[in-house]
Amino acid sequence: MAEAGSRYNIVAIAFHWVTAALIVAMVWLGLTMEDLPLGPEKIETYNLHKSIGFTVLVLTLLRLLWRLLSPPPPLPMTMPAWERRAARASHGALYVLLIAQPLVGIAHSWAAKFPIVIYDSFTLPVLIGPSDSLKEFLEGLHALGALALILLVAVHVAAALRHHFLLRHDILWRMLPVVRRPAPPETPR
Amino acid sequence: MTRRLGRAAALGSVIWLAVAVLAPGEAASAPRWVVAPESRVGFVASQSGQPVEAWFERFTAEIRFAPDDLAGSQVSVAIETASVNSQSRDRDQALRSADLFNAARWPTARFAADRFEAQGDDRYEAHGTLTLRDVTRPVVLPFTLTVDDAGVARATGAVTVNRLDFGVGQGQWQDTSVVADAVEIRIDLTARRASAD
Repeated sequence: MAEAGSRYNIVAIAFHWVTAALIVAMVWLGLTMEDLPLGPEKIETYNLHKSIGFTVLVLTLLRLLWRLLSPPPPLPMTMPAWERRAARASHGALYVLLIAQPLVGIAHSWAAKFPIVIYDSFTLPVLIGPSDSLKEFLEGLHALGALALILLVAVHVAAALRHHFLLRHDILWRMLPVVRRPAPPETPR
Repeated sequence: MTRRLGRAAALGSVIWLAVAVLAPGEAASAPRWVVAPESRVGFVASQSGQPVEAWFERFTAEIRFAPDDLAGSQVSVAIETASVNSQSRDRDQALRSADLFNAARWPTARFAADRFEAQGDDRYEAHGTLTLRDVTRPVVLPFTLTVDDAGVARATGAVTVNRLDFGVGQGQWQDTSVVADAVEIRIDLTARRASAD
């Protein structure tokens, strides 16, 4: 099943794993920060969540641009059509969520009239005025988006492991940094 | 001995009373103004380096003022701290809480000034005191006052105070790295002459 030259390039690999790590951080922050008592610590934690979220947004947009310039390797031909459709759909959904979630978060901060200060360095411009009803709606949307993202990531990981361990495809090897799939041993004919 | 002391005390009391009643004293003689509802008393705080504005929905002001009778001018503002509005329910709730305004325990903030100085060009300084929570401190509020042809007065002014000086910031709110110590108090009052004194 070894398909030579079908690896992701190092830039794509970096985008992938950095985003994965940031998502883990975001979910953890998102789940724990709401229960903090309102005070300077909570404000700083929210600021960190917003800063990392903004980073994910920017990285994902750059990643999409990179994908256009340097397309990913094709899916294995041995993968049945439904699997390839599922893969494209779930990857597409991941991209949508990685962009939509930060945007919903940004709109929520506008509606809640809290400034969005990125890494204590700069502030995002405010495009809409405060609104209690919009704030509540966006909170629900953001939570829903987070749940969808977590579920999708779980499916994504499960699929990758299935392809790697059960089906013995190159799928996971192609995305792992540094390590490469060992060449199969010479089989005597 | 005691009889002489007694008589001295009685005489002293009479003299004191006479002085208190008969002396001109600091009666505010300047005309009274009625503050219009569109007036604003509020402040701008700095959160993570960004300005966050808030105002008080409920306050009352007793104003006697005339540019040509500064000595007879007097201002007294009572602000209901629980009426703070920063357009965020979470933030307003925090502002009312015990570690910041403690509106439940000290419901009224006050500003009182009885000495005014003219700075020229419609600019003045009000010298008085500001009371937040249970702390009263002297404060000078510079303001600009203009009166239009219809006799409607507009006073705008601002003064920066340190919130910790007034105890606005207990517990974790003593930390000034997220919400700065310096807070700018802003007033924008529209007033009309009271019809009868």
